[in-house]
Amino acid sequence: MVACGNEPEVIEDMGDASFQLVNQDSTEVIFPDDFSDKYIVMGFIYTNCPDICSLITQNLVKIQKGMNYPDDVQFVAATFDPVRDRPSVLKKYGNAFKVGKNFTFLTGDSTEVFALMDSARVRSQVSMRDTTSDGRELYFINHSDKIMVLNKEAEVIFEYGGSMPMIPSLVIEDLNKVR
Amino acid sequence: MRFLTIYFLLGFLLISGCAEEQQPTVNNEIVERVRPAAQGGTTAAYFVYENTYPGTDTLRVLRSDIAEVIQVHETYKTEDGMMGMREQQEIVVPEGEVVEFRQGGLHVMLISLKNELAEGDSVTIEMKWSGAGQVQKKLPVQP
Ligand SMILES: [Cu+2]
Repeated sequence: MVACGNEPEVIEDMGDASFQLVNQDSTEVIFPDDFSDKYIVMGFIYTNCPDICSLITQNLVKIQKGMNYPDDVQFVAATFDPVRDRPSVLKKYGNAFKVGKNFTFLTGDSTEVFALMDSARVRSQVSMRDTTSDGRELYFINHSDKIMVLNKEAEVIFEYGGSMPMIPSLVIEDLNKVR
Repeated sequence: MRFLTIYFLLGFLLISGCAEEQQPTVNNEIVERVRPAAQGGTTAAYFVYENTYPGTDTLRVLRSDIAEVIQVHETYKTEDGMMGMREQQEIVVPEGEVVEFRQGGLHVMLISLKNELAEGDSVTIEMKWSGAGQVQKKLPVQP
């Protein structure tokens, strides 16, 4: 995970990509272009996942807090459940986690969202479909557990298992080596 | 609010210790709580239940006024390395043992919340066990 030299190895170049998405306020976001002058710490979630995905979101919040809310680092949580996770849902979810500024949720049309997921090599698959006895449709999603860091050139330079408890300190350590 | 009946037989994973190998995110103490969440959203409850009933006991019913649907889930890693949740339909606890609902492992899912849950609120979960009968667990809402 940590490069030995000065420059970390580039895992994936997302600099040529451009995804037309929306944030929790329904404002259009072109990813990664709109954050081109910043490092990006990015996690992947869906809001009906209070166990693992809460850990991922919580880790993003902890990293931001642990770095004392730096201006040059953008925090992003992108959903792979764009049908249910509309901007208003993400907004409320973010409020429950008390996310601060420079913390953006991303959703959008399924085509764009899954193009982003492919590019970020995040897998997801609807797993458990269930109809409750009162006719309510439920589904859950199997998914990659991932937080990654992009440099200012939108190159992915670090990747981590997103939900693990030691992740915030690792990310902060790695970011401080390259910033 | 209906009761959701739990009826399968899958109990062995539940004894703490057996399940731990599969759950890489588990190594901290359980903080008994329910996570904050928005109205209409989904959250999880974490707590420890000790079987003090003389004999093996089985969880029959779970309910909570706060959620439209309540289920016991297990977080697990799929064969191809993804994380997922699956419903755990029977909870069996041997005499004197505990069942742990903890982050990254077994958890109680509270689905389609009727109200927002904010820090400072509390949630009561009602359990009906075969042996021990009705047991209530009141949990604080905190991140
Ligand atoms: Cu669950």
